[in-house]
Amino acid sequence: MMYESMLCSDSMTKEHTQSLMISEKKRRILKQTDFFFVFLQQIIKRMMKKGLLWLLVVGCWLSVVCCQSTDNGQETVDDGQLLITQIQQCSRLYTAEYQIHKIVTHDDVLRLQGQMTGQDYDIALPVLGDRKIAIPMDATVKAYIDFGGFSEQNVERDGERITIILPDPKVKLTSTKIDHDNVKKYVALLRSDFTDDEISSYEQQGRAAILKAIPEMDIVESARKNAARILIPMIKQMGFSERNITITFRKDLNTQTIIERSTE
Amino acid sequence: MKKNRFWIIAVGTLAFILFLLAVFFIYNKVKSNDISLTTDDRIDVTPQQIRSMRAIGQWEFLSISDEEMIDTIRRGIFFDDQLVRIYYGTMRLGIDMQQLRDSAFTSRGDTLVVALPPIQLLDNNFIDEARTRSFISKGEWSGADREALYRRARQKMLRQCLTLENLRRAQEIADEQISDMLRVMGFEHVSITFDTTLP
Repeated sequence: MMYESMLCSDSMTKEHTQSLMISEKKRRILKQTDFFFVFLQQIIKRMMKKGLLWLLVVGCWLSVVCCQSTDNGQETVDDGQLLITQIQQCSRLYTAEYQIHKIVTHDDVLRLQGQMTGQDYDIALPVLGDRKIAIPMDATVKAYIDFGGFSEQNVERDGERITIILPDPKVKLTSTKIDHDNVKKYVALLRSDFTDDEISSYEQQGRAAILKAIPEMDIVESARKNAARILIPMIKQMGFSERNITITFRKDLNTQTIIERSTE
Repeated sequence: MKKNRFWIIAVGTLAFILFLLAVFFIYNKVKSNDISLTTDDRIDVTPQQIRSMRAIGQWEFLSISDEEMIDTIRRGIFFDDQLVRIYYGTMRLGIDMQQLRDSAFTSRGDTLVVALPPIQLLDNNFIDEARTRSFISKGEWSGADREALYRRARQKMLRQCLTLENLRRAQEIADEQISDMLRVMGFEHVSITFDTTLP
């Protein structure tokens, strides 16, 4: 029992001396930091008197900014983010492709519009100059036959003869490309440049104009003819004689309804 | 002298009151006014020209629609320029029937054996760039900058969507769809093979 208490008191004294040593060390470090802190304060006070501190702060800021920029003062950081991916299974036979070229043009004059003393005003301000832009764009339009709903109703077999009634062709705008190298623009000195938002808006309007003009193109008729050109050799390879193969379409086809809604 | 002073004060006060009345009258007239500088945002009516038309035979089995937000920042000394655009594209995976061999359809007993061309990306231009939305635009950006963003969007979409898994899925759908179509046409037993079979 005595031995245990002695051991205990011994360990206590050891712990005590260790803690004393640690606190002494801390005090010394604190004294040193105090000294540095006071020294730093004195330097800052002297520098503030001479206005040197501000120079130092501005210098540091400029050096940070200059380090960020490259030799010509410009650096480009690129980033990207995926928004949506949608996967759809289908069975579409594209039979005709049209390459369409359009030059989208826009010309605007600044106008002063509004109401003043009960009267409406709309005054053109040509003095400030106008802005003009021409955006060349290419679009690919394709016509396809949807085999997704192809069933027994689409096939008529009569011995050696085969008749295939194809679903209505549909038209889709599959891609558009802006010719950025050949975009021409003129902006008068007193006018602001075209914003990216404005340019995108003109491009979207150009795309809509192409879609609107699709029914005037003969793409549906081409799609029908080409479908026969693709399918007849295939069916021939299956063992049918060419004179026994008939490919037909619905007759009451309305071209206005064929443009796929997703492209609008 | 006193009389003159009185008249000066009276005329001054009257002028001041008249001035206040005029200000009040003008303010009342002007406060309902709405004047702004505007421009017409519509494009001009221009024709579209058909550059080429060709017969194709592309059978699509899988379409992958993708939206990518592409961002670029140009660091400046005082301000940074930023351009963020959202691109839309649809990648179509399928077979090009123009690559179909003359001996693609053969009979082996009661089975129709079909050797189809490999599954591939049907269009190299799959981005609908005219649909692009400008999300953030700070500073001036050139056509070359927009072209660079377009190329990055294209690369990103290819990396994201043209995967072995999607090609394999397209091949499975092609097998299923063409087999069904041939069965409908009266071929009970159909075997489909591809010129390049995916692993």
